[in-house]
Amino acid sequence: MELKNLSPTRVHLDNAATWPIFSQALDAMNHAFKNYSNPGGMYKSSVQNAAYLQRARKEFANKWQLTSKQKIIFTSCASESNTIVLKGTSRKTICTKFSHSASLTIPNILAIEQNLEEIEKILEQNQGSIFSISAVQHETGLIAPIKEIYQICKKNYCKLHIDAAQAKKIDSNITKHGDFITISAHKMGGPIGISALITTEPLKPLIFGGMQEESRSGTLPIPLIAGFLESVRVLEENNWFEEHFSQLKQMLLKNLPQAFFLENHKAMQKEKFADYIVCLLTEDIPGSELATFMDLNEIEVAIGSACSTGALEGISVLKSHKFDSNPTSGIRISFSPETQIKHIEQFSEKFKQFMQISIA
Amino acid sequence: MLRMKMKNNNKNYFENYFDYAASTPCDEAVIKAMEPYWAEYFGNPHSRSHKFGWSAEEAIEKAREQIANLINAKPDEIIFTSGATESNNLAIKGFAWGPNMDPSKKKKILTIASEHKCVIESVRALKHMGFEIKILPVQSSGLVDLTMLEKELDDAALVSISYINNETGVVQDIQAISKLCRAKGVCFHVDAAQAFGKIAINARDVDMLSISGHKIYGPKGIGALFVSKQPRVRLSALISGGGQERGMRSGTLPTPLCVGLGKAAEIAGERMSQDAQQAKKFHDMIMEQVVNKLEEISINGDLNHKIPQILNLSVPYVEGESLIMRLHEFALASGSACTSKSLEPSHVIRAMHPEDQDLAHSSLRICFGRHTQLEEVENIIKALQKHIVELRELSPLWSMVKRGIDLKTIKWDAH
Repeated sequence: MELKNLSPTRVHLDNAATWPIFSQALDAMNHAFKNYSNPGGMYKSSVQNAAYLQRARKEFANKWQLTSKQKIIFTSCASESNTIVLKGTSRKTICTKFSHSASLTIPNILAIEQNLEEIEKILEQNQGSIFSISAVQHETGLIAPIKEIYQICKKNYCKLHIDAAQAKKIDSNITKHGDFITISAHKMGGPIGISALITTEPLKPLIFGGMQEESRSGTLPIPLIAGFLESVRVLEENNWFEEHFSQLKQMLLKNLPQAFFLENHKAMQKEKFADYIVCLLTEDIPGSELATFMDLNEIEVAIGSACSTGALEGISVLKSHKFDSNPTSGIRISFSPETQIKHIEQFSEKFKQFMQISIA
Repeated sequence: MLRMKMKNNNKNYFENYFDYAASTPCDEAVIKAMEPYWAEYFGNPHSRSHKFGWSAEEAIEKAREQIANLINAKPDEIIFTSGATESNNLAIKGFAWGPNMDPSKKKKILTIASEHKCVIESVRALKHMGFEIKILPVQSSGLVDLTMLEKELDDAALVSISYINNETGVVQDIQAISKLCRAKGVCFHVDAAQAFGKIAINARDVDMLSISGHKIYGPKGIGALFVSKQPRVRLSALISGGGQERGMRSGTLPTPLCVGLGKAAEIAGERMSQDAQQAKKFHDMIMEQVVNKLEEISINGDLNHKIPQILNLSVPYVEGESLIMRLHEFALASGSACTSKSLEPSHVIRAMHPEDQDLAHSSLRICFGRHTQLEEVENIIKALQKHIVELRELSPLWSMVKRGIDLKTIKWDAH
């Protein structure tokens, strides 16, 4: 696999916001952008587009190991997919504090801790609702125990919505354990501007019109779908990614003092974390200071979530963890297939340097 | 493994394409403009802490400017969406649910019967939520009756009318409607999916204006909504989340698609008169050699109030679908692409000719675009001449008409 060298001088460690696009996906799109037709017509090229869409849908379903009951709706972004689920239902919707801010602004939310017993209690009190959770938490990399949560949901006649935008690898380990699943193309090497929503029941559409999709209207962007499909293929064909991320994280764990890692915090002992998102706590030093220091040193990291435009609300997610030591700040570093060992070395060096300056 | 094969390299593949109102191919210059933003500057435009983020944001701001320039708007009045369908939904539903709407006073929402499905469906959806809706008829010219519209404005909160109809190419008198709306303090939304980039638009006449990317040789999957700041229009978001786009539309902005739409707008501005002139030439060829030459072919829409890029014909005494079947080598629509699969007669033509429903069954839309060749137009003229004559020869209705029988006097026996 060939990837473009993005910026020879800068080290990009904010890949949870978006991955660089795979060159194969870009090729497929550039090819399809020259295509003329709208897949809704009756003539040959249009019918061929419609046939392509059907084949693509089948392949997505195969790759994601969907059952025949699960339908794919293409939307413009993960926020739209999430909103369709949360607004398009007459059920009560419950989001955890851990969910992406896309869910937070929806009314009718009960904020809950990611704690199975508490989840169970809340679902018992709210039987028949939709419970929404991120498969992999975007700021901390925390992996939700989807399987167990789905069991709890089923027991309480609830439906489970999984925001799998950060899950990267989508297969039956995820798709088998949810009723609604949000998948974002640009977070896994596909183009920005397209997302998929997997559903098992019809939802009230947000966007009305030609009803090109069940629960969604608007001309389907075939080039973006072609790029999305290509990225799914690349991910499947390159099973070295997982090993690669694991190596990068091991390197980081080796280089930095253990106390900085969120996952080593005693409140987190039971939790599992993804290898490609690492949250570092900086105690009482503001994360923004560290991020600025890194930026001046040509290293790009994230503070809080990129999705709350400019708000830099701090790590709202962290506050809900109820730490004893009450850490107030932190940064997130995240990897893509292009992240290299040397980038981790550079980051570690600068991190140590910053800590020395700050403590002194 | 299944790989996508779209034979774009084969030049003949898109020969005889006459459906430019449904979609256009992406301009090479647009694809080129987007390319660096897919791969090289992949920063999330909302990530404020690093350089990639800033350059993506700069590119988006430039695109906003390119779009705004074409309609005499300010860049910060442009909101990106996933397409014109979403823009129309956001304008109508976002306004109805937004803070500008005072349901205790005016709550009537007006549109016209020839509107695109997404506008009509959005308006209808509001009916179930306690809003009063009114779908006005159109005249046989396709134009809205201004006197009738004026009478309805007193208790109206929002009027949604498209600039150019997607099936007939009829251009509404937006300035006149704007004056009526302004006089009564009614918010005015215009669906300009077919007008943006084709004719000069002054956004200052309206409060909201929908824009599509893939109708102007830009990418699919992107559109925009002009939302006036002066006077200020406030909308409630359809898609909630990070609060991007002045809180009216959440979701990570697709930088390359925004850049593509900006570039397409810039090119459309430069080529506007050239594109129209070329379309006019082809339009007039069909008028002369088909419409005026064969008997009883009518144009749907007032010739003095339409763009030459869209020509909608009705061929009475011939079933529209059978004509389309015979013209299968040409990419044509009988309705709009969004609804043509349903094989329903066009609701637009029906709205224009409520007394003569047959016209809707026999309508045919021919569109001319930037890549239309003279030879292709000659081909379609020959085919139209041949097949219309042949199908009419087979038509018992046509032979009755030729024998001087008035079809309206015939009493049909049901079998």
